[in-house]
Amino acid sequence: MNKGAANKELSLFARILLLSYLIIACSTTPPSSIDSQLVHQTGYEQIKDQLRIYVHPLRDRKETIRYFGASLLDKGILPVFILVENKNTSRHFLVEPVGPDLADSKGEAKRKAGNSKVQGASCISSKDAKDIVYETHGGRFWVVTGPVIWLAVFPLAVMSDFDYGPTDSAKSLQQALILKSFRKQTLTPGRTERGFLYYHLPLDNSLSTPIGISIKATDVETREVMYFRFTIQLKSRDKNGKHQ
Amino acid sequence: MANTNKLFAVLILASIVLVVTMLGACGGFGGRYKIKGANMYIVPDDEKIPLNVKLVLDSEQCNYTYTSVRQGAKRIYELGDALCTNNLNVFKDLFKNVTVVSNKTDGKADDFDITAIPRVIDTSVLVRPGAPPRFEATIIYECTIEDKSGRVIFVRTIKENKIIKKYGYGGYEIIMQEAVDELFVKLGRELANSIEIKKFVQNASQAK
Repeated sequence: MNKGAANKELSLFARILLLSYLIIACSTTPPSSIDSQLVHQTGYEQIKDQLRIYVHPLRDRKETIRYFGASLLDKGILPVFILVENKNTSRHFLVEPVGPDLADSKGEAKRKAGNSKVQGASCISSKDAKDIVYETHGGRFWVVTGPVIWLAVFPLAVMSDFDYGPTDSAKSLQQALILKSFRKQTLTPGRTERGFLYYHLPLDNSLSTPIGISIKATDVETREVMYFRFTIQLKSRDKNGKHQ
Repeated sequence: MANTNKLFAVLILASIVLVVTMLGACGGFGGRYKIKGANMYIVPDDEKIPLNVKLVLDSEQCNYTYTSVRQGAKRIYELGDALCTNNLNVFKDLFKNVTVVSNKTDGKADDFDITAIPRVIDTSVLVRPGAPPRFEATIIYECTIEDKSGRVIFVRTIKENKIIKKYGYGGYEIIMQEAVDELFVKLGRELANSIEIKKFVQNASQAK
């Protein structure tokens, strides 16, 4: 083989390598949207005055990957699917999740993430869940680009206040967290709302973790208040990372 | 030894080329984008909802900016002006009388039938590389309406997730502009079709 042909082959190989590198490093797959599969899973249900609330914690790693694009359980976040259905013909309800940690307090999630003494799972806002993801999710980007990109980025990061920002896969996960979150709504007769609440799990896996889910429903006219409370006991993870 | 040095130099050069290519291909070099408000539609007065509205547009919302950092490239989106202009336009399109205040407690309670409090919950811009790349902008926006006594009569969260497939860095600005435009179309639709507001108007007219 002559030198010119060898160089041409090498150049083509380098280009393919670079392109594959970029595609693998930067690519993200959009997660599935909330579908009927979630509604038909085994969950917990309460009905009061024809207002139905159904909850289903996503305890399976595969399930969280399907709806969020990454395993949230590995980051200490348990997503709980909530469905609220107003089967009344005339009553309007204001439905809202309640919990001491739902205020969008900056830095609160970070404090909790580093606090191994937290005993039970606590409800956190989608913003706090986003912060946890930012700190713990490098995705495949750093693994794939690791040695090469660190060579150039690391000196920049050390010498200046250079901020690389979240990776594309972390951003994709953050977007899924905010887009699929369950928020306060008024429910007119026949209306259904769905979304996820996020619970911060204790870092110590050996603890059996109680999850307290509390939803408040207020009749818009009479101001009568109803509480829907669910207590779900999570046990330690099995070998596949699934909470039992 | 000479070969090792040469290999090392090639590796360093390759890594620099890779980083520059990645910044160019994926992240770009950042920018500042001013998102514009949409034009107002002229709706005849007799088609408007007969309510006096106190619209709370605080300085936090009117100066709202969203900063996105992707691969070291910082992009600042100035959204505040568009949010406040569009809010005012949507409410003026739909309601008989709209007064803007910067604080919920401003104004006399008797002058207004309802108080509207819109606010941004969260914003996100995401690019999924591909041919062409997929730009996504997400805005989570909440609108609460209360009556004179502070009773909540309407709360809706609008989740706008706009997607375009496009080459070039222009996509970063276009996607956010389209998301904001679409967000207020959706908000307008939610307010106009709201059973809660219709019921409130019905009850208010019966009380008179």
